[in-house]
Amino acid sequence: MLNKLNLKYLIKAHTQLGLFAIFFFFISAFFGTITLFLPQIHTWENTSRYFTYEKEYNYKLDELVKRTIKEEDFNPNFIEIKLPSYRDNVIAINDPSSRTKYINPYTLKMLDTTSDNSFLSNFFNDLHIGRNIPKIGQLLMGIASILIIFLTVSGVILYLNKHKQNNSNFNFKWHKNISLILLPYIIVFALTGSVLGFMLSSASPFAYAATKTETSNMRSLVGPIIFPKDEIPKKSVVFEKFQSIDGLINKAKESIPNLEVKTIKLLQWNDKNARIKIEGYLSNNRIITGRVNRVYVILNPISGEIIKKKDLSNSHIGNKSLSAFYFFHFIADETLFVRLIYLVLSLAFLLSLALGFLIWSERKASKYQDNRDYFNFTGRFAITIMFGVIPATALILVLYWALPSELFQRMIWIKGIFYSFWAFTLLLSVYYEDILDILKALAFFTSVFLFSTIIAHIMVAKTSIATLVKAGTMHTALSFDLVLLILSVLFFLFYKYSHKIKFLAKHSRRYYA
Amino acid sequence: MLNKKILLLIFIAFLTVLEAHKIPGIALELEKLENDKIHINAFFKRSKRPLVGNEVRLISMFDNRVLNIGKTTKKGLILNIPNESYWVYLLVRDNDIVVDGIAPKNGFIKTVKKDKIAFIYSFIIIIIFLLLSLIIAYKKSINFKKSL
Repeated sequence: MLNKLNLKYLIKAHTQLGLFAIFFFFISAFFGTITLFLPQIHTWENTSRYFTYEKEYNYKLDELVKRTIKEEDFNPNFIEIKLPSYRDNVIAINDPSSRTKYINPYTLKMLDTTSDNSFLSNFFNDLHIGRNIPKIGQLLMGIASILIIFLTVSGVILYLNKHKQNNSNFNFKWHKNISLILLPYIIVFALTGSVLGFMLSSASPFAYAATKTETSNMRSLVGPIIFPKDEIPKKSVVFEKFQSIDGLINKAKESIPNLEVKTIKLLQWNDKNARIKIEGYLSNNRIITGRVNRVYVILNPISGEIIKKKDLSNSHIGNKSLSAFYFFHFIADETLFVRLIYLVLSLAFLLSLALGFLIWSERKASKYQDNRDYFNFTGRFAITIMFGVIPATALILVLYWALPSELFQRMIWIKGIFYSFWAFTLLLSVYYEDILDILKALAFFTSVFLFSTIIAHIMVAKTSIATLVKAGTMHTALSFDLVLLILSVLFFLFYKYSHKIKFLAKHSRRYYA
Repeated sequence: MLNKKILLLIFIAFLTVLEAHKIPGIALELEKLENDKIHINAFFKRSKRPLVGNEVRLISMFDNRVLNIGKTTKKGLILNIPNESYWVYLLVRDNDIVVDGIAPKNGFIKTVKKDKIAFIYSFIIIIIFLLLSLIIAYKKSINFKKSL
C-alpha cells in the first residue's frame, strides 16, 4: 500500500505528535475517568445530601409548589422544578433570579445547602476540559483531541500496512492490541472532545464571517434554533381552579408513552393563561432524547388539554444527531452499570496511552542499556504527568475535608496546594534514580492521602454519617468511603510488594540487577 | 538534554486559574452618588437589558456578615455605603457576581488589607519545586553526557 518512505514519515509523525498530545490527553482522560462518577462525588462532597433513601418517593408536587411559592416568595412567571434523578436525588425548584431550593424527596424537608459548594465536581470537570488553564486551556485540549484522531487513523494505517507485524515487544504488542479493540470508543471520545474543546471555543471567526461581521458569538446564532426559549404567556389576573400537577404528569405520560419526566416548568402560574411544560427523555430511546433533544408536552393546567407536543416524530434531525453525539460523551441519564463499563474502557485506554509512551522511551534508553547514569528528562516528566497526578488528586480529597471551613480563600488554597504537590512529584521523579522507587513513593503518598481522607471525612461529617449508619442502608457517601479504603489498601500493597512484579522490576535498575 | 518544548509544556501545565465569580454575559457596575450612596446597576452585556428582581447583598470582608440587602429594579438599586470594607454580591440563580465595594467619601473606618496570600504562596512554592527539579535534572543530564 504505502511505499516505504511514506511509511517512515508516518511513523515519525505518529511518534512526534503523540509525544506532544499524550500529556494533555492523558490528563483529560484521567480526570474524565474520575468525572464518570460525578453523581457519586457530588453526593459525597455535599453533606446536605446525606439523608436515607427509601424505596419509593411519596411527594405531591401541588403542595410542594404552593408551599415554596408562598414561603420563598418565588416569581410565578417562570418556575422550574427538577425531579429527583440518578445525578442528584433531590427535588430542585427555582425561579429566574433566586437561589435554587433543594427538597428531600422522601420527607419533603427543605435541605440546608449553605455549606454546599460542589467544589470537587466542578474542579475535576475543569481539569478534564482544560479550563484550569486560562484562555488557551480548552483550546489546547481540543487540539490534543484532534491529534488523537490523527494518531488513531495513522495507527490503523500502520497496522493495515503490516508495520512491524511480528514485533514481540511487550509495549508495542499491547499498545497495538488495546488500541485496536478500543477503536470505536477512542474515536467517539476524540471526535466529541475535539468538537467540544476546539470547535465551540474557536468558532468565532466562522460566526463573524457568516453574519457579515455582526456578531462573533456562535452560541447566540445557533442557540435560538437548537434551544428555543420558553414563551411566557401574558398575565390576565383571573384565577381558576387548576388540575393537580401529578394528574397532568400522568396525562403527559399517556400522550407520550415511555416518557421519563425530568423537569417541569410552570409558566405564568396561578393565572388564567397558565401553562405547564413537562419535559423528559424516552426510557426506550435515551440516545436521541438526551439533554439537547428532550421531548415535552405543554398543557393547559385548567382544562388539561394538550397545547403543544414534541416527540420524536417532530424533532429536528440536527437535534437528534447532536443528542446522540453528546450521549456517548456525557452518558447523562445512565446509571452505575454503564458508568462501570466506561470505567473499564477508560482504564484500558489510559494503559494504552502509557504503553505508547513506553515504546518511545524504551527505544531511547535501549542504546544506553549498560550506562547507569542514563537520564531522560522527558521520561521523568511523563511520570509526573501520568502517575504524579494520582497522589495530587488524592490530596485534593483530603484538603476538601481537612481544611477549616472558615479559612479565607479556602478554594484557592486547595487548588494551590494541589498544584504545588504536583510540582513536588516532579522533584521526586527527578530526584530518585530508580523508576520503581518513584512509583513506590507516589503509591505510598496516595495510600496515606486516601486513608486520611476517610478519617477527615468522618471527623467533619460525623453527625450526618452516624445517622446514615444507624439507618442501616448503604448510602452513596458510605460506599464512596469504602471504595477509597479499598483503593488505599491497594496502593499500600503496591508500595510494599510491587518489586515482585516482573514487569515492573524489569524497568528498575536496583531490584532487577 | 533539557528539551525547550517540554519546559514550555511544564509552564503551561502548571499555570493556575484562580479567578472566581464571573458569569460571562452579565455585568455589574457601581457608581458613587452623593451622601455616601452607591448606585448598583446590573445588566446583560450584549443587549444592555437590566436584570430585574435579583438580590444584591453587601457583605463585609471581615466576617462575611450581610451589611445591606436589596433587589434590583429597572433603574438599578441605590444603597448606603457601609463603614467597613465590603463586597457587592449579585445573586443570579446559583451563581454570584462579586465586585469590591467602593469606599465612602472619607474612606472606610475599618479597612481590610487585601492580599492574595493563597495565590502568592502557592505560586512561590510551585516555582521553587520546579526550579529545584530543573537544577537536579540539569545536573543529572550533564553527568550522563560526561559518561558517554
